[in-house]
Amino acid sequence: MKKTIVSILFFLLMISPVWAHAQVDLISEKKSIIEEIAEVDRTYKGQLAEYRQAADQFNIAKGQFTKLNTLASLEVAVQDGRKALLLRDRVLLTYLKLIELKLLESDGINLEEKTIALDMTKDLQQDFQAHLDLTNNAIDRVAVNQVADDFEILAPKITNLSNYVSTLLRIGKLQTIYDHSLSLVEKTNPNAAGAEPSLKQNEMIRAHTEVVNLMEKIYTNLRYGWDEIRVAREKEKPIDISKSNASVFADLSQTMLFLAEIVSKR
Amino acid sequence: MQNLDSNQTQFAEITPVFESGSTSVAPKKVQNDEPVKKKSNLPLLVGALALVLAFVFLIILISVKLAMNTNSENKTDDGRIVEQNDGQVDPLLEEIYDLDDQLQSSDPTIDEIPFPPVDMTLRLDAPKKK
Repeated sequence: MKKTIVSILFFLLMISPVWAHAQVDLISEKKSIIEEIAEVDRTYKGQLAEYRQAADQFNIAKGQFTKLNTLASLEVAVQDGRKALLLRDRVLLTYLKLIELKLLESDGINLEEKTIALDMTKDLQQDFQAHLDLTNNAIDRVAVNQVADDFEILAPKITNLSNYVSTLLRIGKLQTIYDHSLSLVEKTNPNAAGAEPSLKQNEMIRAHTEVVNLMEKIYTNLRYGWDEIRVAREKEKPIDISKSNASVFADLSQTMLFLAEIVSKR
Repeated sequence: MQNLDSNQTQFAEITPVFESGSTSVAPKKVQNDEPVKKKSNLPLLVGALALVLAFVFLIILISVKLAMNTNSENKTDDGRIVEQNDGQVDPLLEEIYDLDDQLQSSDPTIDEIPFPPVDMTLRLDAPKKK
C-alpha cells in the first residue's frame, strides 16, 4: 500500500513539470497566433489598398481601349488587367490565411467542423496559389482572359468557404460564452452544497430556475445551429443561422443580467 | 488654638496682626478674586464650545466623505455594482461582468472578417457565350 502511494506521488511529481510545460506551450502558441493574425491583417489591408488602386487603373485602361481601340491602349489594358488580377489573387490568398489563423485561434468551434474547415481553407489556398502563378505568367490578351475564366471556378468556392468559416467563428464565440456561463450558473445555485439557508432561499431558487430554463433554451438553439452547419456543409448549401444566433445572443445577455442580479442579492 | 491659648506671649504678638489684617486686607482679597474668576472662565467656555463644534464638523465631514467614497467606489463607469458594502470586490460579480463584456464583443450581427471588397467579375474581354 505504502509503495503504491509512493509510486503515485512519484508519478505525479514526474508529470507535473511536463503538464506545466504543456500549458506554457499552449499559452505561448496562442500568443504567437494572435501576433501572426495582427501581422497578416496588416498585410491584408495593405494589399487591399494596392488592389483597389490597380483595379481603378485597369478600369480606366479598359475604358481607353474600348474608346480608342488601338494596339497601344490594348497593351496598357492587358498589363493593367494582369496586375489587377494578380493583386486580387494575392488579397484573396492573404484573406484565406487570415481565416485559417482565426479558426486556429477560436476556442468554441466543434472539433470536427474546425478540422474540416481548416482542411478546406488549406486546399483553397493551394488552388489560389496555383492561379496566382498562372496569372503571373499571363502576358498576353488570351492568357489574361483565360485566368479570368479560371477564376470563375474559384470564386464560388471562396465565397462559400468564407460564409462557412464566418458562421463557425460567430457560433464558436457564442458557444465559448455559453460554456463559461454554465460554471457561473452552477456557482450561483442556491441548492449547492455549503449554501447558507436564508429567508430569501425560495426566491433565490425561483430565480435560479429561471436562469436554468434560459440556459436550456440557449443550448437548444446552439444545437440547432451546429446541426444546420453540418447539413449545409454536406449538401454544399449556403448557411444561414442568423436568427438562432441572434436568439442565443439575446438569451445570453439576459442570463448575464439575471446572474448579476442573483449575486447582488445574496 | 490650644497651643496659642496656652502660650500668651505668642498670642500677644499675633493678635494685633490678625485684627488689623481682618479689617483691612481680607475684604480686598475677596473683591479682587471674583472678577479674576469671571475673566478666566469665558475664554475657557468659548474654547470648549469651539472644540465641540470643530469635533461635530469633523464628524459630519468624515461621514459625508465616507458616503461619497461608497457611492463612487461601488460602481464602475457603466454603473455596475462591483463592490460589496465592506468595500471588497465580489469576484463572482466581476466574473459575470467580464463574461458579459466578452459577449458584447461577440455580437453575431458583426462580421469579424468580412469578405474582401474585390471585384469578382474583373476581366478584360466579355466571356465567350457557351
